Formats: sequence, C-alpha cells, structure tokens
Amino acid sequence: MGTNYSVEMTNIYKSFGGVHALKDVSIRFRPGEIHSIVGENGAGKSTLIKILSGAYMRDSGEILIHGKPVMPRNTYDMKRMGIGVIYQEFSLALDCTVAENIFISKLSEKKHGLINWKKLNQKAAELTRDLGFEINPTEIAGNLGVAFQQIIEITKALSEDIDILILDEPTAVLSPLETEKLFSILDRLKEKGVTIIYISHRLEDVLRLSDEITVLRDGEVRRTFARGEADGDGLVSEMIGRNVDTYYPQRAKTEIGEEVLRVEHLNRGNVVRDVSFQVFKGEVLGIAGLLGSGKTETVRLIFGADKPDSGDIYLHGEKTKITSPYDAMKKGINYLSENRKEEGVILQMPIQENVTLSDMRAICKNAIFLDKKKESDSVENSVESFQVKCDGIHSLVASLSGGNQQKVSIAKSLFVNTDIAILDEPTRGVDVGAKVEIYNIINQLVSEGLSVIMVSSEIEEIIGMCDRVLVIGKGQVVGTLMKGEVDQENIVALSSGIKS
Amino acid sequence: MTNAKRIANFFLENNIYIVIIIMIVICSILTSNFYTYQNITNLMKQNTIIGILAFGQLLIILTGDIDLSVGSICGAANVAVSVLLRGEMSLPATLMIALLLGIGMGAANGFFIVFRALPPFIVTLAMMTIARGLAYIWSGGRPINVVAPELVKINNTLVARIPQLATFLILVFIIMLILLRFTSYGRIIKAIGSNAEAVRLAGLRVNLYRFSVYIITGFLCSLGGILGTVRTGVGSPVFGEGYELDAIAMVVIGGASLSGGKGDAVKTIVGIFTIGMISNIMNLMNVSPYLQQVIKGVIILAAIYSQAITNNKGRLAA
Repeated sequence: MGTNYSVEMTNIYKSFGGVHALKDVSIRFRPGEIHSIVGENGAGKSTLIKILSGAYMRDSGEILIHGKPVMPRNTYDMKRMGIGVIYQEFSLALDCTVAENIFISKLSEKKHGLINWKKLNQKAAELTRDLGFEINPTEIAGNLGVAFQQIIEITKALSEDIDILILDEPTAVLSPLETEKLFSILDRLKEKGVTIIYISHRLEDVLRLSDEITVLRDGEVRRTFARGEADGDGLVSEMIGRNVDTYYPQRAKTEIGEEVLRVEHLNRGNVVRDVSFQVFKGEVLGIAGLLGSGKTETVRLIFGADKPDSGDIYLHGEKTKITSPYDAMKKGINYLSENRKEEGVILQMPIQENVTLSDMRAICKNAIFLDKKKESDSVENSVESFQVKCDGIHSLVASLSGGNQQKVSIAKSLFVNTDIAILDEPTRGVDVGAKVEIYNIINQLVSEGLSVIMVSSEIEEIIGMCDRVLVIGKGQVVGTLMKGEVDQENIVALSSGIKS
Repeated sequence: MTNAKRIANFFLENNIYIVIIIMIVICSILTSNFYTYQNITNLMKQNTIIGILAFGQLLIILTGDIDLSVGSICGAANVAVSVLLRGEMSLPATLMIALLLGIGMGAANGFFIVFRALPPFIVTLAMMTIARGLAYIWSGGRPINVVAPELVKINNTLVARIPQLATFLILVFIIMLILLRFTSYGRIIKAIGSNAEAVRLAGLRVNLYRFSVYIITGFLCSLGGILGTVRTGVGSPVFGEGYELDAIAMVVIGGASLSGGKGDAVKTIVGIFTIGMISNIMNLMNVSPYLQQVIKGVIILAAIYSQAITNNKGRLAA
C-alpha cells in the first residue's frame, strides 16, 4: 500500500433502508492537496463525509488513515485519528472569546487546574498569526464577522492536531471578499501538508482551488479529474446526465394569463439584493440557486414571514404591503416552508389538526366551534387526494415517514384556497414515487388557474416542471430563463457563477 | 399498534386518574371524617380560588409560557375590592374595577412577553412583586374588612347542596373544557405551544392569541381575588401568596407539558383536587403545617417524576 495517501477509502457501501446512498465508492486523498467532491443533491456527498468523520458507520468497505485501517464508531474516534470537519453552521460559543473558543477542550493546565490567561491568549494569537491573520484573542467570537468565525473554527481544529480537514460548503455564507480570505488560508494549510477535502456546489471555486476533483452521482464515483483536466461544462455533464423527460407528468396546456405578482427591488440585508421579477396567472415560476443563495429568503419576504428593508410588491397590478403571513394569506398567497419539521408541520399533533390549521374557519360553526364531522370529512378527502399513507387521520404526524410528513405539510398549506402558492423545496426528502404525486398536485393547481412559485435546489425538477426559471446567486437575480432555454447546463453555469 | 399496547398507552396517558383514585382510597382509610358532607364541601371551597388560577395557568402553559404573577394579581384584586368598598364605592363598580385591574396586569405581562419578546419567567416575576407591592401599599399592610354583606354571604350559600363559591370553579372548568376541546381557539393555543413558527406560517396571528391568553388569565386572577374576599371576609395583602407555585403544580400533575402544547381541562381539575386533597388529608390528620410543606413538595416531585418516566415509555411504545 502506498503511504503517500493520507486517507484511502475503498469499496465503501452504505444504504439507508432500501436506498443505496453509496455504492462501491473508492476515493483517495493526498496530504498537501485540496481534493474537492462535487455532485448534485442526493449524490452521496454528505453520506461520504459523515462516514469519514465517524458520524455514520459504513456497511462495508475499508478506510485507511495514514496507511492504518480504522473502524470508527463515533466522531470522537475519527478526531483522534486527526480528522476534523468544519460544517456550515459553526459550533462556536459566541459569548466566549476567541482564545476560549480555540482552546475550549483544554483551557486549564493539567498541573493545578487553573487557567493561565496570558499564556492562553498568547498561544491563540500565535496560531491565528500562523494562518496569516491578526485576531485579538480576547475579542468576543460573536462580534466577529462570519469569515473570522470560520478562521477560528479552523484554528480550533488545527490546535487539536488535525491534519485532515473536511470543509462542507464553507463559502455558502461568505461574501466574495471573505471567500478570498478563506482560500488564502487553504493555500497556506496545503503548504503545511494538511489534507483538505472540500465540498461545494460552487464549481467556479472548486475549479480554481482543487488539485483533484471527484464527481459523485447517485452514490457512485463517476470520475476523478486532476487539476487542469476539468472545465465547468465537463463537471456539469458528469454531475447530471440522466434522462428525466419521462419522469415529469405532462401538464395540460394552460393559458398563461395576466400578471398576478410583481416584485421590484426587494432588499434584505446581505441575503436578498435588488430582486425584481413577475409571476403570471397559470404558470409555474421556478426559483433556482445554490444553498444559501437567498432563494428561500426572497420568497419569505413575499409571504411576509420576514420584513424587507426596501422594495415594492404589486398584487394584480396594485402596490401593496405584506406585513405578516396572516396578511399574505388574506391577500391570496400561501407558503410551504422548506423546513418541514421546524416550520411545516406540528409533529406532536394528529394529521387532521395539522391539515386544517391554515383555514380553521372552513371547519367551524359560527366561527367558534369546531365541526369535527366536517373537519374529518374534508381531511379524509385531502389525505386521499394527496395519497398520504397513514393509519387514519388521527395518527400523529410524528409517526409518519418523511415523505408522508411532507405530503401533510403540502396538504396543510393548500387547504386554504389562494391565487399564488409558494412551494419551497416541495419534494425535499421525498422518494421518487411521492415526488411524481407532488408534481401532479402542482400541475393540478396550475390548471385550476393558480400561479405556483417553486423554489428548488434540484435542477432536474426545475427543468421538468417550470415554465420560467429565475436563477438566484448570492442574493441577486443572475438570470431568467424561458422554457426553451432552460436546461441543466444553463442553470448550473449561472448559479455556480461560471457564466453570467 | 397491538391491543395490549393500546391498553398500556391508555393507562400511561391517563395515570392521573389512577393517582387520584389511590389518593381517595388512602384518604378514606386514614381518616374517618374524609367522606363527610362537611369535609367534601370544605374541600371544594378550599380549592375554588386556586383552581381558577390553575386554569389560567393552564392556558399560559399550553402556549409554552409560564406565569409567576397569578397569586400576586389575585392578591392585588383581593385588596382592591376591600379598599374600594371601604371608600364607599358601589359593589358593581368595585367588582368591575377589580376585574379590570387583573385584566390590565395580565395585559402588561402579555405586552412585554409577546410584543417586546421578553422572557415570560422574568416579566411575570417582576409583575409578581409589583402586584404584591401594590397590595401592601393599598391596604397599608393590614387586612381590611369587606363591607359588603351580599358578597360575604355567598360563602355560606348553597346551590343544590353545592357551595355557591364552588360553582364558580365548576363554571370556569366547563368553559375551559369547551374551549380546549370544541373550539378553534383552544386548538390554536395548543398548536402554538407545540410549534409557534409553523402556526405563524399557516397564516395565524400567533401574537394576538398569545396576548389573549394573558388577558384571560388576568381576568381569572381577579375573579379569584374577588372570591377571596367572599371566602375570608377581608382583603388581605398576603392573600394568594404561593398560589402561583401550587397552580403550576396542579397543571403539571394534570399532565400538561411545561414546554407547551399538551394539557387538558379534565386532567387539570383532577390535578387541582389531587393537590388539594394532600393538604386536606394532612389537616385532618393534624400534621404540622411545616411538615405539610415538605410532604407536599415530595409528593409533587414523585408524581411528576413518575409521569416523566411513563411519558418516555409511552413514546417508545407508540
């Protein structure tokens, strides 16, 4: 075995239930190199990282770290082997100082159990200086920008003798300037001989940064490119390349009517910047973009879930202000949250009570008393038409599978009749069969004359379902594609910044 | 789910009923005078005021908040009645002002908690000392006789052999039962306690509902304060002290979850009388009041601990 690899994963298999998340994956990483892993959502990137970090156990296959086989049972095992992961959400104690965060696991000296603050702060300053940054070690972590917080995370990992660093979408929350800072750190770490495993959707960054790029698709390694071998188009065609035309149900030809919604110069902080677009009656408008691009943030402004800093919203040609979700629904807009468990359904309540929550008046006598007969009839109806598989409408939503919970969430937001339905990641975490059912529901809505705004990070379904696609990148509209121009390469290129 | 599991789950969900049956059996074995008419009516009267506060607390706890000020607001209203009557205000006006006082204090709680997003624990803790302080200021620190015979008379009036005082608790109980089981309001309150953000995104005005709960609770507190003058014949600045904790204990023993979303009117009334009976039986047995406090605390802890265990098991079985 060549010991010039720091990590060797061979013939890794992993499945969840009947779904194969990883099939015969073999991948090797060299010290002093940046090796990127790219692939669509669900391609198996995060499963691969989680196996390497010890969060998941592999079903079969072999992992060698510096030539030694390992069988991690948890993340602690892997940390001791020198593997550290920096996730998108940082795990910093935001009220503590920089130095405290870096040395959180070994604050005091062994001898007497007291903290030598002077030494601690000095060491912290040295470590950050090593990475090329002057950060005051006594500064409170929460006062620093996101980029500096990330630097602290990296410093913390390195102080724990980590020489294999996994970064999961590290630039999703960073501004272009901050991204540059991160890249300069990664270059420095490379020189020190650290193995860097880099996961990102931003192909532009990946191409610039990586010594090697491995493309995953459907849980398998498609190809590993060396530096210079790959270009944007090459990567994209390896990442996709599945015939999906037949997968999306045909929609009856609908007339696209007059404008129902117009948004002008919508702004909110850094996440939504000068977004303008229109939505017409009877169309499905897709909103595509990478994780953290501002898709969800944009539609939340239209629904009144957050307040915009500036910008105008016109409904049916009239300027209006949407102050709250209550207000939005009164004006004919509803919203399916991307975040099913936290914002979509109430897990500890029965299906029935979830579905009717968005329009209780429809099931009440005298606007006060619940008409339980009427309620259960209409819920039975919608459970049937959405094909929710359950043990009766009185079962708790928590007892359903993820896909069925999603259907309840959709049934809940569509229980009330509106003109515009905003569906944020309507098929997230849903299996193929259920996806098609959800597509049918969307087609049904459109044929009834509704307008659907479909936010999705799955490019295929955007192409399969949408009449028009708005591509959002870093909070801005980076392009609008008409039906004829919508294809995977266009969307991927626009959203990952290869093309503009 | 198998039938055996269904039955097991039924008992886990409803173990409060088993607890109260055991309590009743123990009480009737330990003392000969537990089952007397005199004692039963006494038990009802003793628990009327605190029971009304517990129902207010139930609403708050259902939304996932907590209210430490119920006892003090009750005390402030209690003193207000006696002071206003002594100032020769008419009885209807007095009662109206006392009710508005509680509603106002509840509204103040609600304003800071809901619309200014301050933590309920702190806001109601502040209101607890403010209301108690006002009760001392208005009364001058001494109990004041209630000069309204028609009010005090209620304490000894019976309606169909039930003390008239207790009919107020029965009424509040029935209204809560209907509210929580048969109205959209009750369902929304519970949904807010389970997942407020999901309710907000379903287009409901979560803030208004949460605010309304504080208003209702404020109203129930002053109702309790008014009934306090009926029961004791005085307005006292110490009236209702410690009631907030008993009210919380009653609600929690009644199976409500302090994290919100779970709770029920029938189980709460059982919780009210479970705690009420603990004091009652110890009085009948001449247990010293100091020891009573210790025993009550231990019993509450044991009951809630056993519920926590069974709740976890229930979740596994489901």
